Amino acid sequence: MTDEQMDQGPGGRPIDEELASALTEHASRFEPQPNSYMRLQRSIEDTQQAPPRRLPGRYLSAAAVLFVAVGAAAYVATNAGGQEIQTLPPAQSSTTEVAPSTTEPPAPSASSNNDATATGVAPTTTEASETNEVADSLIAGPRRMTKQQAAEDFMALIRLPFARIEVDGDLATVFSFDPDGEPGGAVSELLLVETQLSNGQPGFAVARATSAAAAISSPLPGQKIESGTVIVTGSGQGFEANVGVRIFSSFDGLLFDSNGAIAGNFGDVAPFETELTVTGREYGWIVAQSGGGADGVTEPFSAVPIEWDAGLDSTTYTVSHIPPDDPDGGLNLRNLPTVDESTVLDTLPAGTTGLRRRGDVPAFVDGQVFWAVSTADGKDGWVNRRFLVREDEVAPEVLESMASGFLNEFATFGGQFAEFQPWTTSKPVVIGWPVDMMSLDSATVRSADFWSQEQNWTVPEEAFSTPTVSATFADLLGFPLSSDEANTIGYSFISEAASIPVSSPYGSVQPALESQLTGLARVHVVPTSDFLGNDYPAFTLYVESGPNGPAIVGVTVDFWIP
Amino acid sequence: MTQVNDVELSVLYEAHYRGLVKLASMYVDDVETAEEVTQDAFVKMLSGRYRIEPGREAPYLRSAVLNGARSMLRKRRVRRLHDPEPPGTAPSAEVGGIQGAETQRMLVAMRSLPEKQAAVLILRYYLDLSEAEIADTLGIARGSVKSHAHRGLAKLSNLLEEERTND
Repeated sequence: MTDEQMDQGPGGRPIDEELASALTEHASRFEPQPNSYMRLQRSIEDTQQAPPRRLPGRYLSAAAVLFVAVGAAAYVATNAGGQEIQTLPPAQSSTTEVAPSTTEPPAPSASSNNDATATGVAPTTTEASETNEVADSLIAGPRRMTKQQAAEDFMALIRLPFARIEVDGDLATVFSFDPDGEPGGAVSELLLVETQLSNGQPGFAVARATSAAAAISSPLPGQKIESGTVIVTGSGQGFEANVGVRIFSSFDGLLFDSNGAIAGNFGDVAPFETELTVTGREYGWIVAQSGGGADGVTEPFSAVPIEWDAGLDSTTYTVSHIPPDDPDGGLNLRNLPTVDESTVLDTLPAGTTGLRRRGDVPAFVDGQVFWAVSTADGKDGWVNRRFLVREDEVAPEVLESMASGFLNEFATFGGQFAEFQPWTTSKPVVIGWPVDMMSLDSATVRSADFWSQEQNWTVPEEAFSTPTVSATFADLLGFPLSSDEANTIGYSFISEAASIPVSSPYGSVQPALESQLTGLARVHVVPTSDFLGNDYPAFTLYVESGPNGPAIVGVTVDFWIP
Repeated sequence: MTQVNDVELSVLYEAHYRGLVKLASMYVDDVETAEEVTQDAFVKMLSGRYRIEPGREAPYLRSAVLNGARSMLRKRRVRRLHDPEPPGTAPSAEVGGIQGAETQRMLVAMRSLPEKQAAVLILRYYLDLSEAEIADTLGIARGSVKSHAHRGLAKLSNLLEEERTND
């Protein structure tokens, strides 16, 4: 028995015994309902017998045009009862790879050669048709059993907080918080369409979002872009006429690109135009959002789904974000885009360079997105894209500008970053975390463009009221080590970093923490004035050139009490 | 799509269904959701999307239920952040008593652990699986099972201790 097992639980028994007892007691309250078997039988029969109800892409595009031309009622009528869908594809390829969902997947192969056929089977004509239809299913928001769930999950996908959503018929109205955190006004209307869940049951998805304060006129919903550049036009208004335009992956909400555009100012609606850059083949959502002035935390926004094929991606990627205690010791290159049923062809240690995406559409399996890649030494396989970063160099001036932006952003949250007043006042501190986060955690702050995730927490006063130089990153920032968010991959990474002692005095090196951020550009931000007279805080921002461009992926804090 | 006959389904149901609903309950708080997660796992397994080798149904189903239930838990947390549940929806009525409160406290602490640690603890201390079986279910090395269990218990103990101190 380990030391921890010997620890006493609240009931005075060893913690493992108490845990076992509690879990058993909890489970004893859960018994299947009497008709469970019948319902299961029906679900399986429905899945097996019902022909997939899918709407070919051309219909969706035509319906989208119709929507623009004559309004939402016509669009809904065109699509009612005939929508979608199919399970998200395990993988698709224009050439080889994994068989679509109606066939059994190929037998796992341990081969690590670069013969693409070794990892899959060539699609038949039927399969090719299936591929196209499955692809169409991605041009919609997350599919859920209820309209409410579909709307909420769509908001999570495009990473916008909301106070509440009211569903009425096929429309869902999104309400924002006001700046005091209270429920505020309506900011967008989501159009909901009927669809089919992966288990064959009826469900719903969001087909687009509309707002007069930020409207997208091009591309049209469902339009396919045959290049790496998406030109977005529309009309809207914003604080100092700024409108933010972003593009997210339909798979997992990865932010591909964002850009500002000039529209109307303070109530004047005016046209805007901007360009977004995308890579590979994918399906995504363009979101245009008013740049402020509406007295809400979430400003009015619109969103349209598109697909694109930017051709082969010439960008090279490096393996990154591998936790130091990762049991596999690196990123697994798999023969199939799934963890459960694949064979590991190779394990790529952190820092492995030269990976290139092949032309395949990513596969979304069990909440993870897999990219088909070729390694520098010619091996083909699938990897989880969260562990890849672009190898583009981040120019010094970009780093400097980001540091400056970071400081300014902090200032907008009620304090000067260099002074870091919240340390002593217990006011919330907001720090952005890496790309790829799946859910929003703060409903009271607005996102900077380079943040895809924000965390809002309170720094404990105790961390600074004791005359010690020994503290952990978590102590310093009150990082919620055991928070809900620690359950995501990104937060696991950060929480590992957070558990490392940061006891070094000002200016010294923190090798353990730095090793976790190896390969990333660093920006040191040193305040020019004293902090509370005697404290000298120093901050290091870690910046990587990720799939979304340069992004702050970590922050470390050094402080010294002389 | 793989065709499943009633006998096969019945065998699978009898062998696994009830236990999987209870397994899902470690992450969700109502029977309906636990069953939804379990049914999804069955449908997914029987959809023919992946080929499951004979005899591998149990680890596959366990893994699918764990993933599905965790996913439900995450979504529920996001929803709660933006749209808190009205008062009175907490499961206290069915829990009841001091024993129920302790169980609930343990469960909340366990759910707040990093997901691998929580999963290992559930499989070890609820399903009583061996290290090898846990490793098989979660697709990790046996050594990692040990370290996740070790860390998970330590963290759990700390969390409960902190809570006791705060009380």
